[in-house]
Amino acid sequence: MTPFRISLVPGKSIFDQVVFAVTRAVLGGALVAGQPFPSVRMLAADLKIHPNTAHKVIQHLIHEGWLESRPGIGTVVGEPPTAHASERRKLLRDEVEQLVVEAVRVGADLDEVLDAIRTRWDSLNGPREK
Amino acid sequence: MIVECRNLTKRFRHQEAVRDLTLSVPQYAALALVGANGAGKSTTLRMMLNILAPDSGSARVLGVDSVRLRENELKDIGYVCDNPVLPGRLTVAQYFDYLRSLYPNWDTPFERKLRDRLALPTHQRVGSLSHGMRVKLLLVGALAYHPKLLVLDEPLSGLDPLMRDEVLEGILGQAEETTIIISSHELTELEGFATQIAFMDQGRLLFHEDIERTLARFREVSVTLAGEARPPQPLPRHWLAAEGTGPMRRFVESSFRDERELADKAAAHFGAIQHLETRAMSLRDISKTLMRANRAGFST
Repeated sequence: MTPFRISLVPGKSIFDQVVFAVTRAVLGGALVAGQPFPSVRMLAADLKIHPNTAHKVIQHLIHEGWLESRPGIGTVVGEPPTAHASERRKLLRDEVEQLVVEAVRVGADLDEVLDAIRTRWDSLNGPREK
Repeated sequence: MIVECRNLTKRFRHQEAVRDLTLSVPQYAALALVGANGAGKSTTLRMMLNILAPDSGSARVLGVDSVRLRENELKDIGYVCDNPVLPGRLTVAQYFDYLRSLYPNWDTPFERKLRDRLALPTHQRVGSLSHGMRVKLLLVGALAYHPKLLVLDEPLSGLDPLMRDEVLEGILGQAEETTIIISSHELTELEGFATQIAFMDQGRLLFHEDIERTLARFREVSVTLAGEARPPQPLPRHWLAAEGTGPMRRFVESSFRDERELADKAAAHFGAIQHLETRAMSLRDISKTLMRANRAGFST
């Protein structure tokens, strides 16, 4: 079982999708620093992807600091990098693209869009503040 | 190159099952051989393994001409096909005893591990195994000596979803150390795992490339026209499956680079366009589109 949520979508780069899912899970708190991360074999078997792709993913994530390689233990989740804001913006890029394109298509203006976002945001985040 | 085919041709009666096929497979590739039934995939694989001799052209496998493959190369080649002839009266254990004696490089502890992992029964006769169990038997038999080349002809066909997963995992487990050629209709599963695609149609190889390239260059496109539709013109090269009514047009672009270039091409062909949308395509959708287009006589 992969410790993070992912549903591979056909047609898009597997490498991108898996890297994205892991970084999202780390930033969102689903993956905790120090937590063991699946090996190349396990990741490939779970997601039904080629071990070379799994290897590339893990190497990339280690290089970027999302994962750490601990000798004798294996791969573990690293501390989320400190450059939070720009990473978050990168992660949301696809969703922002979709939202803006769709809004323009239906003829909504910026205020309408911000309003819609604010309403949904409050309904998700509101009660927790209490 | 682990496999090099040059101008392979095979005729059955008056039908050319494989025509002039040239294809090279690099080491450690996981090549998906894709195409409709009767496209020539099995025939091609059988020529690679010297089960059939080509009528013209040649294939080199592990550095040796395919028609000269002997024990020295065959001990490093694993083959799983979907309609094998198996010794029905042997039990599973006896079958592996027999195979083990044939391969000097057999890894018995690994064989036992695979048999466990794939839940192969020990004392059941091979002839009474279900289809799925037989495929798993063949797979273990092909993997136990860590082959350099693994050739799989429709290994997933007729398997229930759980068995498909188990077989795929078994194959994946060896993917780092083996060059794999797999012909299959189960494209959804292959997409995650293949590194290269070779697409065949009516005996010919249409293209062979890295899978990322295939996924990057195919797009489903929908266009909304701004004004009057132009009278129909011949389709630009690399466009397939064009259709549409009123102000809507849909087609498949097989040479996608970026939306700007596509929009220019679309405007040049259709006239002014109001809106253009593209969608990435799964390997399955790409294959269906190509099969349909080739049936209708288009080239890609």
